[in-house]
Amino acid sequence: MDIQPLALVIEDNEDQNLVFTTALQQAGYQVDSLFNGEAAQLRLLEVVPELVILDLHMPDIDGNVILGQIRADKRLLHTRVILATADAAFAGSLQPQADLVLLKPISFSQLSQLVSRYISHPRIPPF
Amino acid sequence: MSETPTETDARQVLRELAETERTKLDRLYQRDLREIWPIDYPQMDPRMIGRIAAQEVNALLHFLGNAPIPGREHGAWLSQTGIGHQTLLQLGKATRQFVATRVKGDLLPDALNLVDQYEEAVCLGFIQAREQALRVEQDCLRRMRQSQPLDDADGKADPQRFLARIGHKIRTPLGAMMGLTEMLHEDVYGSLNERQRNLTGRILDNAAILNRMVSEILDRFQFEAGRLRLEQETFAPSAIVEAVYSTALSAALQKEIFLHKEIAANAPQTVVGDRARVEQILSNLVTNAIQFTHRGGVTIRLDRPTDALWTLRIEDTGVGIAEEDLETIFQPFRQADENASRKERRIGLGLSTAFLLVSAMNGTIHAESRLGRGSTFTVTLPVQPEQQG
Repeated sequence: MDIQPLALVIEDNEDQNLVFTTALQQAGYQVDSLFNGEAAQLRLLEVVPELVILDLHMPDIDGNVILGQIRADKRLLHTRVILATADAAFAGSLQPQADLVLLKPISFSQLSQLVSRYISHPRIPPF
Repeated sequence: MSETPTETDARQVLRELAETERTKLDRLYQRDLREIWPIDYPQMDPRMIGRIAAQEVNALLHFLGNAPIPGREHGAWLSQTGIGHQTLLQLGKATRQFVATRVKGDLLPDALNLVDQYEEAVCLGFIQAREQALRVEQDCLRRMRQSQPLDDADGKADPQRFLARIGHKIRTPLGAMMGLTEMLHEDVYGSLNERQRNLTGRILDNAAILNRMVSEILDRFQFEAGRLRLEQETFAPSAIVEAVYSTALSAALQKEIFLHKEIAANAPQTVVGDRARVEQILSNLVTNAIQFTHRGGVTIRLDRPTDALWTLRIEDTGVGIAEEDLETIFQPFRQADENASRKERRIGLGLSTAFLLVSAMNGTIHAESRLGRGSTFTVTLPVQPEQQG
């Protein structure tokens, strides 16, 4: 039996977190659901996820700080980051660092289909 | 040659004039005033000028008749009406001309002296009142600045930021609602019977309508709030095409349709206009095109049909728009028509806003389509904004 790839869902809204988590589980990921920036930062020091779904607006730490941490970490070169936000302007400015920007509301089934394609195609880091 | 009249005589003459002809005087004065009124005050309603002039004459006559309306108080009143110093001087000049043409003979010098005194008192009152108003204004500004952090936290200070926050606050629970309903609809928690699935489908349809309306309202308000602030900056239109292309690519990939970009050889290197707004328009049009295309794809083309104009063309192979709907797609909320079936509904996220923005930029937006054969939207903008004046 194949080992399921790991994904992190970092989103403070519990309902939205459940939707993202379920979509990723359906796609075949093993999912760690995190509900604040600090927990996410700590977890990212311990694991090497294949995929991170990251909410930009969280009460304690802004998503862009976490995005910066991921991109600065050599262990996480092959980690894909999908930004999930309702703030198009903010997301636009972070786009170069993200693999994908999805604007809320995000369809459950479309997200599930999208991330299932990533499973056999690891991220190719830029030079 | 007549005797030099005393000041008392002059007052007497003018008082009589006031008593017998006040109504006629007001009317005449207003007419005269309109004729000599400087034409560079187009923003002032003529009726307002008439009212101020009538007040002015009344005050003058009261003053000459020793009625208790001191010149200073009258000046303060003029200041409250918001008229400027130059306007006040014009008004004084008009009063003076009027009196001069109507007080005859040797009475004239004394009458004019009285008017001058009156003017002086009025001017003084005006200046004092203005200073007071300025102090109040500065005080208000200082208080506002002190409380700025609080206002900022509520987002009240900047309408754009306030709207962005509102948008975020509405979309977050709406997104959760849609996602959770979709989970039920997709049988994540066991299969639904036909009736249950019908209901979850209807919840999703209504949530989608709500989402579009929120977008439309936010776009519209954002436009209203930012209407007077169209930027004039030099930018590369190809950079906008690249930015929108890379943002929209994921949505196209999700739907397994293509997204192409074409930049004509003669496309302008740089243009002058509001970069962010143009990007917003293109982004809206491309998002729409992707949404309504289920086979084939979307092409963004940057071109320059004439020296003075450049165009963004968004061509899709999507469901198309019926001929009768083509005329109304740029009207707000048109696409939220609840009678249309889910697939036919043209969402038109921000189409009406795009129309308003393009018009404000002295450009045009044009749609061509046939049902089932795709649509083409063309935005035409000036390379340089038209010179004013």
